[in-house]
Amino acid sequence: MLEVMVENLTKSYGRGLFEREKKIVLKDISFVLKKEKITALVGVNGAGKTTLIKLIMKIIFSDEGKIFYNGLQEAAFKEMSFLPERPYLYMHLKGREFLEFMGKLSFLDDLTIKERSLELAKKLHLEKALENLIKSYSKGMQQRLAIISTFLARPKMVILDEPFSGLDPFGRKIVKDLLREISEKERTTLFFTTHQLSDVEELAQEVLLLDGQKIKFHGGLQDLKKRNKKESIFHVLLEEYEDIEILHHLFSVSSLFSAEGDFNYLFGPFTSLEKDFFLAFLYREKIKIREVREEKKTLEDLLYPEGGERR
Amino acid sequence: MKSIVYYTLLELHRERVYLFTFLMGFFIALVSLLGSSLSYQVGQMVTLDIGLGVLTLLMVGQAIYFGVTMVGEDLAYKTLYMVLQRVKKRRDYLLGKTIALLLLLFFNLLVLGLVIYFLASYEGGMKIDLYLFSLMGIFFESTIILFASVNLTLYFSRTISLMIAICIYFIGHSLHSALEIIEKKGSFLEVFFLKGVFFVWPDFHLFNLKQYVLYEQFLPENFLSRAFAYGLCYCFFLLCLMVIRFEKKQLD
Repeated sequence: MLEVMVENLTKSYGRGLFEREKKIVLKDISFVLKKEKITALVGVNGAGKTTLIKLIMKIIFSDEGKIFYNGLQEAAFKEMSFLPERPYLYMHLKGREFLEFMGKLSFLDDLTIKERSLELAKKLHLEKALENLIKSYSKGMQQRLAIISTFLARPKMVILDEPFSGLDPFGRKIVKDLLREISEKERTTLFFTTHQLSDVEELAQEVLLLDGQKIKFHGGLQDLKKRNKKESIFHVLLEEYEDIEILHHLFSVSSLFSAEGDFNYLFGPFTSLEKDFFLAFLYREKIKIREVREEKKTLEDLLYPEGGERR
Repeated sequence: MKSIVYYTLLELHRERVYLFTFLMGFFIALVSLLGSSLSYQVGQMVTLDIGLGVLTLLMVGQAIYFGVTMVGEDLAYKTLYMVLQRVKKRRDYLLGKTIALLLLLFFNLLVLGLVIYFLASYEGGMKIDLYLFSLMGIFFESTIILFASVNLTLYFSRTISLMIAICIYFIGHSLHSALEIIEKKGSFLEVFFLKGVFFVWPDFHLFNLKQYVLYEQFLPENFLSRAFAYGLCYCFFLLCLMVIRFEKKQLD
């Protein structure tokens, strides 16, 4: 199994005519990609997700810091595979030929390439299109073909940059099923970027949040939810109550409105604990409650409470 | 590396690049026959003049185009990333692509060279050894331009690389005559400067054997060995530069 350890990585890009002005994209970041786990890399546009992936794949080089592949600085590319975001494949090759090309580059023999291609193509519903030229493929089909090529050599670790882009809902589903299956059966470590947080919730076991050049969070999804105590917010709607002013002094009133001719009072927002305390008070005072509203925090709220640092 | 050569050629074959070669062969034949029919008793010279001239321009044009798009296109389309993670060294990709493109240039030279040869034979024949040397000269010229263009794309954008490559070709042809003139009339400093430029700039004059073929002139002693040794060394130098730069290039 392959473990990638990133240590104090810093990367900047030159700006201006002679690139003297440096723009720091990643600053002193460290983390370990856990073996056999599915880790999602999330962050707003320009957070440095693709830069980080390119650094791991040694497509570009860091200013400072080191990356270790199973403890060594020599990249273990034989055991890794990378799917760039929306790659343009060789349009004049057939799907089968493209897979053969990628397989041969990975030193696979003809039989293995054929069997593995067919196995993956069946799972991604592409087996009938393999004899067609890639230029006749739709964007989703091209993306699925690129995904097949990524898993061809049974890599120990796969890095996928926006693997679901260009896919329709059915395509997303079958790709997710494939990723889950490969992670479980072949114990492949998966590291993917996405902007769709539903993908993270459905697929990821670990989340790595990049924001403002740094890692803001790295851990399990459950840890993220536990860490954020204000997971849900509550509002309590009361029927007309004569001593509303007292209540108003004790608790906040977010709005006052009339429904069906009566005055109703909406109290909140409360955390779970605050809500329980408020309800207990209302029960003791025998105040009638019309409704308790719960607004669940989405993963987006948890990950980007202030909207993320945009560049 | 073998796979890169094979699938690059397959891709080019599917793009029907060879159709362009055959079309140009037909064009050369047409223009040469037209030119020779208008000339008196020098049909073979006209055929060779037009044929070799067009062939040189075609080869150099293709070399510049291939050189500028070879790495640049794969990088822009991110196909490069999918290939590079699989090869042992980055240079395997570069060398594989280069070999494929050289093979394609050689195929062009072979087809168009044969067309010119048959046309010239029909018009009265020629010195075959000089003709073959001339073709080799054209191949060296286009190889140097191909390597120079690839090198340029590793530093500049595709458009700038294209413009610089064209300049390299034309200046490389005129530098020799400029040096001859300045050696006779110029100052020591001017000669020194031009010789300095010559040291790094490719001297395409050495590969231009058209005049010798047309007039069946005698080649000066050691001319060929000097020209081909220079060509080989220059190509090797450019190839090394290309590989060193590519290994360290930030491919973003």
